[in-house]
Amino acid sequence: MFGNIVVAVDGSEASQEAVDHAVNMARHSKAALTGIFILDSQWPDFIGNDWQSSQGARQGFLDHIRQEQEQQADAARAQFESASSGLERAHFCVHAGDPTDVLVEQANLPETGLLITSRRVFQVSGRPSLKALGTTLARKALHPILLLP
Amino acid sequence: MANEVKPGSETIGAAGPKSKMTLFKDDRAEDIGAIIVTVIVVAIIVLLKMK
Amino acid sequence: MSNESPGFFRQLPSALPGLALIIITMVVIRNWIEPWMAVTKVFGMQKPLTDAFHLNYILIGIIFGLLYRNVLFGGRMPEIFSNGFKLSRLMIKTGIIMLGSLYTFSAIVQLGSMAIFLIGGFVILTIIMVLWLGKVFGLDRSMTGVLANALSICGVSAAVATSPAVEAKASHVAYAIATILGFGILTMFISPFIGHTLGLTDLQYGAWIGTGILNSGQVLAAALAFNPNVAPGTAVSVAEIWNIMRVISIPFAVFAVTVWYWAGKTEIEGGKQKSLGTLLVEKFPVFVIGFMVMVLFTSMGAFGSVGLKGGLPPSETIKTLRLVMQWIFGFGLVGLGGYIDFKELRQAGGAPLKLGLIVGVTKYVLALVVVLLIKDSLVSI
Repeated sequence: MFGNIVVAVDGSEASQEAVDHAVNMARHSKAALTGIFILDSQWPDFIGNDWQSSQGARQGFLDHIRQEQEQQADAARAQFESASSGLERAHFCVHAGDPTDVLVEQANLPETGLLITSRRVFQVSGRPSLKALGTTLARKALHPILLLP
Repeated sequence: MANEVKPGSETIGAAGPKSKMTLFKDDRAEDIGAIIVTVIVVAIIVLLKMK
Repeated sequence: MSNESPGFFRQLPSALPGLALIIITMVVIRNWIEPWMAVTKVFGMQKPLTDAFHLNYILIGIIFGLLYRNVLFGGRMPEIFSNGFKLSRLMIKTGIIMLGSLYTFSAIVQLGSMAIFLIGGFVILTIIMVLWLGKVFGLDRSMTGVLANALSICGVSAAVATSPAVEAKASHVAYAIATILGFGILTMFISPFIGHTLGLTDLQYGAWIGTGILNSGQVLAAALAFNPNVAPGTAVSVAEIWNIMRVISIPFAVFAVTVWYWAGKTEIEGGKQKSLGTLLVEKFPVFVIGFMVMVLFTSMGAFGSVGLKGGLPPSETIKTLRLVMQWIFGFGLVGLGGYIDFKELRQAGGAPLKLGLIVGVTKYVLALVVVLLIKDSLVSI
């Protein structure tokens, strides 16, 4: 019925509910399931306003953020794998980009039948604007989406 | 980390290069770049005004 | 996964479109928009844009930068322009190094000691306030440490330099940065207005914003917005000494906060702490050395007379240098405007916002009061 269900996973409590929901729906509708995590590529831009930087400070900071996000990607994958065990057509995917853009793009792929996400997804290591992710997604998605709190 | 395959799931998609905020190697290279640009600009001005 | 990006010169061609946009913007502003603002009438008021709002090419440039990003391009710099905008920092650093030609060593010592006195006092005051308010709002130690440095030294730069050392969480830092940026942008636009209304001198104004505005980029912009002239004794020549003192103090501040943070941790975890020596070598801003060399050359008379008060008029070389600096700062600040993202600022909130606003406003107002109180001891150069 759905072809492929995409679920945004970040390893947090908020995304656990979305993953559980997605796994259930995939089981019942025999759909394929894709879990995605997005490494936020917008941090350099976010801190770009300030020119005055001591040596290595900015890159050190970006590396620090990246490390945190990679750890989160691992947590997200573990969360997805434990929830989707037993499902045949399940895979997990790490993307890089602006989380909002990537999710919109995923929701609008022809093979995506349904995108499931929590409104609070990617806020663990996210920039302030990601609070509006759910709203943007609801406005720009062409295929059905399921927004959980 | 992102590319190994585990049972029950597979991982696709590249995580992308490390993000940067400068065209230089790092902040210090940018500082040195600024010093070099200054030297060039000042040298041109001094040479032009010498006549 | 390859982490190596191509070198500077290989990326340079991709920066040309963005660079062209920045340069064309500034040329249009200085050749057409500024002259138009100087003669335009609105609601019967003569030149309201320049006289009432104190808009000049600097503020207009920043406004263009942020309009490009937030309106024209819908919130994100397009790929084609992004590398060009990344060069804005290079331009501002170049401008600051060239600014060294405004000072002689005695002027630096005079201004620098005033700066140390004011900055030092406010750093102590700010840190005490942040530590206390951090407890009141129940912030964790890493967040308190980041905010202490960001609010006392130089905004985003200090937040960015401190975060990894105190293991701050990305989302926490993100909210701190949004708060600091938002507050800085507000002060950048209202400070010239307040300065002119109160009739502040360049020296008083420079000392005030150098102490009271959090971000170095915004200090530069607010100084040039007050007085776009680049010469000894103008707002920018005063405020930038404050900026340089602040950037030099970053390694020390990172060290202090790191020691404070790890003092509350167990010994095993404490292994990550870096020594002051390592931090100084690692974090010293090299462009400051370029600035000092420029001061040295100027003091030796390499560029002719700098045009100090009561002395000879500035030489042709010095005059050209100053004109070039105005353009370079103009370009750089259009670029910085392009990094202001309203959708991030709109979502700032929580305890960092409350704490940031309380401390930021206190510091901004108190700095003005202090500068007005000590105005007789602020001697002009």
